[in-house]
Amino acid sequence: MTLEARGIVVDVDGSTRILHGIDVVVPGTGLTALVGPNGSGKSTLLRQLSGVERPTHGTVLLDGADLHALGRRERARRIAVVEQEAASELALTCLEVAMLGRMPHQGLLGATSREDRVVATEALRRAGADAWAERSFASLSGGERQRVRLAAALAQQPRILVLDEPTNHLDVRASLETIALLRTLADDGVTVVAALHDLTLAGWADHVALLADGRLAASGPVAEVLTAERIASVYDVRAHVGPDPLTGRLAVTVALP
Amino acid sequence: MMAARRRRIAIGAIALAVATPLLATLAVVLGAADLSFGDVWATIGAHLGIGQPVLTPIEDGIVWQRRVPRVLTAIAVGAGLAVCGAVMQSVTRNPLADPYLLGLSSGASLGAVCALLLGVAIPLPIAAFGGAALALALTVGLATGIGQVTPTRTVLAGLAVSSMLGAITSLIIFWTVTGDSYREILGWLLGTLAAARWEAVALTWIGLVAIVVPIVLVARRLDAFAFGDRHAASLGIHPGRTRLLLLAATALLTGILVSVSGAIGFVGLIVPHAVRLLTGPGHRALLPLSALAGGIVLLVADTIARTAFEPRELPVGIVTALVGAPAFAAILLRRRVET
Repeated sequence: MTLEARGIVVDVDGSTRILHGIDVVVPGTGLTALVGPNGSGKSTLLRQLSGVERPTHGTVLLDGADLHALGRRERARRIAVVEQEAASELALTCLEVAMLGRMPHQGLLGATSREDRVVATEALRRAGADAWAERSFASLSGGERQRVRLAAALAQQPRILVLDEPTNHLDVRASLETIALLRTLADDGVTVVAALHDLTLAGWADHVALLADGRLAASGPVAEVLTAERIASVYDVRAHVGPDPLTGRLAVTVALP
Repeated sequence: MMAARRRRIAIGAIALAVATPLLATLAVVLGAADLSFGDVWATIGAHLGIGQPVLTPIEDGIVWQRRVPRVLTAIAVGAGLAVCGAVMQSVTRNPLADPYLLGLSSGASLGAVCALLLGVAIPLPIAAFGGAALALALTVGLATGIGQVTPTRTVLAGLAVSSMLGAITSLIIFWTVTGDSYREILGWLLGTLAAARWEAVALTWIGLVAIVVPIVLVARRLDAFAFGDRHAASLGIHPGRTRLLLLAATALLTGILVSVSGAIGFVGLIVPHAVRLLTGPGHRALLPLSALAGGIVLLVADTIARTAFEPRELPVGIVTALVGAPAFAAILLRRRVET
């Protein structure tokens, strides 16, 4: 499913403008990375794309139709979200957290079926979190929580997966495993859009949208967007882009000017 | 862990459901007048048209006109307060929330005091609900005025509203009440079930069934608030609307309960915490078990209030505060250790 933002403007507290009219398309196939410096508006744009928030101006289209014309539950069956930070006061087990993802598929009374349990368990396994299924979510490390919340989103069986910094708190191996999982999901036909800080991880994506100061600086295929000149100007660094000697993927190295 | 927890929940639910009628009968038996379990049930049976009366008319009056309605009212009020507390803790994501923290009880008391003392010609429960709804509107309005409504802002706004309405209530009482009625109004303000008759039973049980049953049926949707509003929204729930609807329902129930019992504290705060130790955080088990446990807690507290210093009677709110305040402190200490 294709997501398209048209003229998205977001103001907060009535005055501060976070996004200044963004037009961007998240293609229906593949993995789209959203990159940009801190404070460039990545998280805010993701919230508009996922429909969790409404923009001040502009519209978000899902396969060409207004996203907000869909019912909330209908939307939640198509789009799942992994937020950047999420704490819970509640002492839920990891399986219970994953089961939350089944909610849009359940009736009003929220009766859980055997299928819900199977899907949630499988989602935990896929996210590499099945070992902690019975453990309390609150007792996990930041990286472990990240995986469990990814599992909850997978349990939602979405057509579109929206993730804000999914590799936060993860060590190098876990980061790679996560991005490889997103790659697999994208190859399986799920539309994946993720905000990423690590530009080399963004090299795993098919498409990249680069934000700077609440405006779209560039978007398109990875090799076209992530050029040394553009990275240098947006991040104010010296940049080198070239194939990684180990993997052959696009790799970005940077230095202070 | 989940299988073990489910078994624990089932055992807990059965134990509470069995304990309630036993303790209720015991509560009717206890007190001046020499009664037995058999007397109580025979009397209830006789009034329901089964069997013959076994007690003298005076004893019969004590059982049927005083103690049975009082016990039934205590169960309904305790159950309602516990569910109100559990729901508020959930939708405000504040483990210390209850009808008091958001100002609803203060509002309900003010409404009731207006009806009682200023001769405002509306029925007490409606006045109390009006007060609770006013308090809710003020709290939400103030929270909205600060900016986007967040749980923390809602609670802070509730604190401001609660202080203000409490002060107005005190002012009205100080200004208008003299002599004997001072003691009476003070007793009601502290929370008492001494005046509960069959009208109170009807009012509280209708409120309980009409408001708590639907909330319990959709309890699982409250789980969606576990990770905050945005996550709830991504699961297909309208967080603002859901929160407002649930808070309005708790305001209505709080108004009904306060109009009957006065402001009884700590039940709504403590009972859900205790029940969570057994059920875990899932609302599908938490809400019905909180209702059962809350009913028992207030039933026991009221029986203590009624019989401990016979013939003098304590306002039950004093008993719940004496037990609840240390339990509240224990929650705070526990949380400090955990987080």
